[in-house]
Amino acid sequence: MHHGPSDTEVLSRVLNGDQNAYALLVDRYRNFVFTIVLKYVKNREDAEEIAQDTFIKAYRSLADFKGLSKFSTWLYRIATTTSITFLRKKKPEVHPLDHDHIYQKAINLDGGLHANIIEQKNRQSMVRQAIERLGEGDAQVLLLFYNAEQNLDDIAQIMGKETNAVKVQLFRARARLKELMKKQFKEEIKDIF
Amino acid sequence: MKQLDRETRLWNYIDGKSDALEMVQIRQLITENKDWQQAYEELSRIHQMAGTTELEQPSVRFTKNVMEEIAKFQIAPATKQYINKWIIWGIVIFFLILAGSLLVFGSIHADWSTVETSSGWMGLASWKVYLVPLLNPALINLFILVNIILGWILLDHYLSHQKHFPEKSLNT
Repeated sequence: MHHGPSDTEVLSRVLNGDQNAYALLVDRYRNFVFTIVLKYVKNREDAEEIAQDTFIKAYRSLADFKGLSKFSTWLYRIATTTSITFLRKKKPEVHPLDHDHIYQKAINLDGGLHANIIEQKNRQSMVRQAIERLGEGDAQVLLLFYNAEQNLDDIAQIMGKETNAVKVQLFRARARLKELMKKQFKEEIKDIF
Repeated sequence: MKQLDRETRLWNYIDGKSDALEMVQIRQLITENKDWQQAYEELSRIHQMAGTTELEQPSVRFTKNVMEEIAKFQIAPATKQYINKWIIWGIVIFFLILAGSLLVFGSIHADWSTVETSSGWMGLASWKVYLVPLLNPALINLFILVNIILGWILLDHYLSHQKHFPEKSLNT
């Protein structure tokens, strides 16, 4: 939840010529947009550029936003399409793998992460790193559902999928997260499970 | 299978998507059945933990950079206001011509002799088409040429709009 004027109020100020009011929306959603983009683009510099581009595109297209969805849903959709467009242009570095493959690869990994986790003993960081090891689609669904206050219909709109497909993906993502955490962080989570 | 079904039902319960009757049943199962109770606790913890992850943060100059960039732009007019109606009509006419010519071409080349001629199907069998003399190679080539030129004009219109309003294609 955010404080201050609602998105609609800020948008109407911006549309009436108060360009500076847009900074409120940028501040409000910058972390969400940046995190969504990072699910697609692993390089932080590229992600920052795409996130900025997302806000610029959204600003220039504000007249097209009819309020049929939440502003955040519309914005995340732009972030997703901008990231995908970026990846398409940067084809040689893209290695499309199906989620099961990524997941299987992640679950078999046992690197420095394990040691780091023991040191950190930080549950938040542990979950975050586990989510990062899921496929980008699974990670994005979890992020949008849990952090970005988006319901299944919103997520479907953002990801360009059917609501039922998103529901199934959310179930699978959580099941994979659970299994991954149980397997990868057995010691750390024995007090949790 | 049984475990999968249980997890699905429990996730629906945790997400608040179960109906009233299902909620009562699951609550009862959690209270009375140890396996259900354990599964519920596990999923609840995953649910709680997934919601506590921290978001990534861009650089501190992020907002400033965006505001500096947008200062160079103005909000583009809504798509509806600038799309030329003639483009839409052009596309409609193009496809109508295409569909119509295919129909005519098909009718002319159809083997009507296989159709019953005694009474005819709804009287259509006796319908004759006298367009054959018009269908010479030169005319067909001309027709194709006109269609290609029309296609180029439409593509040019589309690309010039893309150039001026690139953000309109952001959702495609």
